[in-house]
Amino acid sequence: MEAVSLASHTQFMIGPVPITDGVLTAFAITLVLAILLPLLMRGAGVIPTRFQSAMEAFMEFMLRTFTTAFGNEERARAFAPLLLTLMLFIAIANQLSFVPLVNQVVLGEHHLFRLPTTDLSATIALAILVLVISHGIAFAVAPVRHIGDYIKVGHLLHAKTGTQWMLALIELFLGPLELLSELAKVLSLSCRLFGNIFAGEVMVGIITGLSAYTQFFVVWPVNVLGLLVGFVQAFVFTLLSTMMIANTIRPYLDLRDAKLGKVTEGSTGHASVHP
Amino acid sequence: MDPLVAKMFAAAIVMGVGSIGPALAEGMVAAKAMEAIGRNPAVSDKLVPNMIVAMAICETCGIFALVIALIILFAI
Repeated sequence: MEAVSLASHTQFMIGPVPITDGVLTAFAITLVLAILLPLLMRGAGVIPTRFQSAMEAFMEFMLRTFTTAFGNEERARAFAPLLLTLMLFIAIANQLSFVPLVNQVVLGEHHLFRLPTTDLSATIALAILVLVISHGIAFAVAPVRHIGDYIKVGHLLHAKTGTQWMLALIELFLGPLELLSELAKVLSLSCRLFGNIFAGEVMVGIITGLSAYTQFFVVWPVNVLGLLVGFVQAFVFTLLSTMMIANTIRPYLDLRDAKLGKVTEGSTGHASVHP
Repeated sequence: MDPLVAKMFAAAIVMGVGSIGPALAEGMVAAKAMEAIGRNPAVSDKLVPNMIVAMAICETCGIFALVIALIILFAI
């Protein structure tokens, strides 16, 4: 079965870092986006062009989603560039096989380009990025309380009766299981994206390789399904990363804002009691 | 049994058993969505995108089975 190989092929090494075909494609996408997007947005004015209206509608929809997750609009705007870049990069990386000739460029006997999301390392890297950001910001805002969520010594100090001691000890030992659930979130996020896109590539490869007659018409519905799946999976990845970051950060941000006297959506404006 | 034959059996069983759950789950999501649309056709614009996202999340378990099958076939 030689349709698409699971592991990326290393083209060359820069020092100790292997540059594989997936890495090359990711660099190419970044370069193209960095050059193309300012050019497309150059005609932006009060009377919008068609591209600008489409982008504005998309921005409003995503901002509404972020505002529901994060609580108020200024926090949503602070996190919007990161999450929208993630979504744009993943959406384009999933669809790159529709640009003609990308899959055909061959260096020696191996393909030069390969969709970055068909490489498990790339999707795990993106998921770890989201994890590090959420926990890093939680540490920056409220370090002691954040560690206290995982190593629950608070109950131990307040326990008075026998049953309360037992419960406090059980909570102390079950706390680190939450760390395992964070790891499971990373794994599920990365495997979902990788599995969907890699399966699409494998199916196209197999149907194309069946016979000379199936190479054009029969493979087309599978390609269209791949297009739909690519967009949906990019949106789902962004949505789930938003939920992950918001769930980790929001309690601490709400407490800090309540001390400063600001009111956010979904809180009463008073500091909540934390056990 | 040949290792190659065992690999093929393993991948086939993983994918076969692993597709039952997601199919049932997505059918349930779609059924509830259809019911809601039938009761109130005006909300179908709000309902369908959320249904698609919910289906994509239900699909995840099938994709886990697919990843295991691919690892069995290609990487071991």
